[in-house]
Amino acid sequence: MNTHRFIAAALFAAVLSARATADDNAAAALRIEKQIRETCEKVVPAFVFIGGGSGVLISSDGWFLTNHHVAANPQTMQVDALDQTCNLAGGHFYRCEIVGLDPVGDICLGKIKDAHDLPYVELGDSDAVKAGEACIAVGNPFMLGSMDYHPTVTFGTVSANHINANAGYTDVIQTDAAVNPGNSGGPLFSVDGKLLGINGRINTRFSNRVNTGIGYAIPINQIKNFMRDLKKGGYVRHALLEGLQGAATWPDLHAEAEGAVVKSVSAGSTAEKAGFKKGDLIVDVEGHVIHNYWRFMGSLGAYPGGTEIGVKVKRGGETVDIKVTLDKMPRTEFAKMKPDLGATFENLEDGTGVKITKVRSKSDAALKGLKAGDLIVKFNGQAVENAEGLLRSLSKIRPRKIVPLVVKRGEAELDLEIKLEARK
Amino acid sequence: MNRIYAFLAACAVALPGMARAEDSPETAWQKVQEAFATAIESGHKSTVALDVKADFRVPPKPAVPEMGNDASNPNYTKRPKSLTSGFVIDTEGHILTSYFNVDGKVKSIKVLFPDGKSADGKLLGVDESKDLAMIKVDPEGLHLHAIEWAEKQPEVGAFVMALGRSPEPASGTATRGIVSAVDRIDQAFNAIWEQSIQFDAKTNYGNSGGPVVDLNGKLVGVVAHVRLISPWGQNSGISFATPNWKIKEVLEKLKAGERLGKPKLPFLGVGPKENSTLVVIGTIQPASAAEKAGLMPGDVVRQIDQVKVGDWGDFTNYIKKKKVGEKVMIKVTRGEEDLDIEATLGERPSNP
Repeated sequence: MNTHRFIAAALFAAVLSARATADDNAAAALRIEKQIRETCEKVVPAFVFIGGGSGVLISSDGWFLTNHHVAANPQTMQVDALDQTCNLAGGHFYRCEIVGLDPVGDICLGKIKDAHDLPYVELGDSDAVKAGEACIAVGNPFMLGSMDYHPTVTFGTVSANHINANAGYTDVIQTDAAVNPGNSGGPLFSVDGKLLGINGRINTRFSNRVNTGIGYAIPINQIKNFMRDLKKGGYVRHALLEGLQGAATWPDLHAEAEGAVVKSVSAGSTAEKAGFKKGDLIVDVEGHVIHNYWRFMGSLGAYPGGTEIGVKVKRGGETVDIKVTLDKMPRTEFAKMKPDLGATFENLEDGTGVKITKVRSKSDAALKGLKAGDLIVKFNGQAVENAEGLLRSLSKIRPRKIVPLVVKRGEAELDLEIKLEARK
Repeated sequence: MNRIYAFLAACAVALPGMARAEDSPETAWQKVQEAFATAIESGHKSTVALDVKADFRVPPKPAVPEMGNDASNPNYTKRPKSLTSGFVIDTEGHILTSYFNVDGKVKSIKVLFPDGKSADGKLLGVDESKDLAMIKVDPEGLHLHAIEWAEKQPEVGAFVMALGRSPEPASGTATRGIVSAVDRIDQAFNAIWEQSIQFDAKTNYGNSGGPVVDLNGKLVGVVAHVRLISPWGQNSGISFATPNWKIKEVLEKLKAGERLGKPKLPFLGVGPKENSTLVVIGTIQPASAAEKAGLMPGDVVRQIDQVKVGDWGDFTNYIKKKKVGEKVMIKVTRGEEDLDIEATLGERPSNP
């Protein structure tokens, strides 16, 4: 009888144990699932619906990141309206302003107006990200969330880091998390919910614009380098290193692997002044391993013009440290645009004010009813004393911004809102 | 003796848990893989392949090619010839699948089971907008494993697996992903007419009608809306499932052989005021429920049926869950006044 009981007990324990193993396996998977679910819960509220694309809040007072190609017109590359609108996840509607523009890096920094206590996400360290790590993308693919304001969350792997993908995207994180049209400008997170980058372009073939398992995110560490300039407003300037040439094509590039070979250094150039020499092997930029010239050029894309960086080169048997202050990329055409009122003006002869002399037909000023002879009392909330002052005020405002204007016509004072034009 | 049993049971449960702290990465990964494999194995027992012979409805080509893709190809809107998927829901021989798989004049349906057996299927009811269809086989001589249903709808971020039996009925397929969104509904752009689960596991034509299961191998929905033409395309990480609670709404009707068309969708007929941080009515559709109820542009919406309305999304999502003909009580502020306005929901026009 006792033997029977013992066998029954042993069998029972064995069944329980097998069951326990299955439970333990499930528990391991559920722990991972729980982390993903909790991260989703944490980061989704900071998601921004903007245009047909995506964005993400990075501060409680409303700073948010998106792609330049989301906030700006993809054809003209111009930001049509610096004043825009957006919705947070859930649908709450806000007015916002596009403040900083980086068309080269495909980033815009925006600010939700009069905001406080908004949900936001923490910035991560994109240099620490390694291939194989899990990641989470949040976005508005195919505008699926534009009706119900639930963004789409997708899960995947970091496929590679520090990829020089193509012009502009010189140093990106590659991911296989599903990133589709509409995900642009949205965040890529680590599993613990730290912002790793902003999802941008994807690789496709034959114009079939759906995810192929290759998406690129602009790394947050690059964006951090530009953050001060972006917050200042207007266009940021990327870096260049003038006067240094390396192997630009395969298979030369392939043969490099150990570093970037300096093929030539132009006389009198920034590179020469910094101490680069023909034959140097560039192996490190600011702690990043450089394996060829393509990666070296890509690494420079992460810095604003004027930044001093440390470069390590191998020359003969020794390693030489070079400090170089990077040049600024020339201003692109669209960055040269100047704001224009759509009307000409001059000082009154007695110096007591500013008079509109001519209003260009079809300008926004003409459309809003500004007339020659009007006296400008206030511009953008500030009293106007003379034409020089008005020009100065104008130059501080970005083209296409809508500004309030108070004009005096006869005895009447009129309030107008005029969209500034962009002129070369 | 009972004490000893209790102790043994406690050890059996606790020991693997205690060992967890010392799991090597390999062991941890192995456990997770085992967990997925167990769930998939469980779901696969109920998953079947369907061989449907039919004059399938061929959707018209898009007038404007989607984003420049190759719509000029003569086979662009033709469905690929392949088996599709379904699953067993009871031992009486009911098989659930997607409407897509039987969308046309059906000539014959063969249901192929995991153990190599097959049976002729008879089409019972269908629900076009939920993308569901019910098939019945004679259970005589078949080993039918009814799928288990998950009790709760999964949350965003939860693991899900789409199961199928195409192209090879003897070997089930599984693709893994997470829940991307729940209650996805998009009546304007993308014709997701009723609340769906969106998930990022890759699904292709052969997946259509297969079960989507959770980590316990339990059903959370049916793979739905795998389309011949859709802006997202197949295999893009944008997949949909009709959730359990939506299936349950029509399960008996499907078994009874009803053909359910698009549901009448509730419609109030208001649009938001642009550039407003409050929930302010901007437009009222003529002859809509909103107009009949006396809602006015400029009304600030505070509550609906005593549920606080913080965002326009709260407002519209609430209405979407109601039915045509149901009454809602809307609290608005008009000027200085708070008003309670009762509206009887109308029907969403087919082309809003």
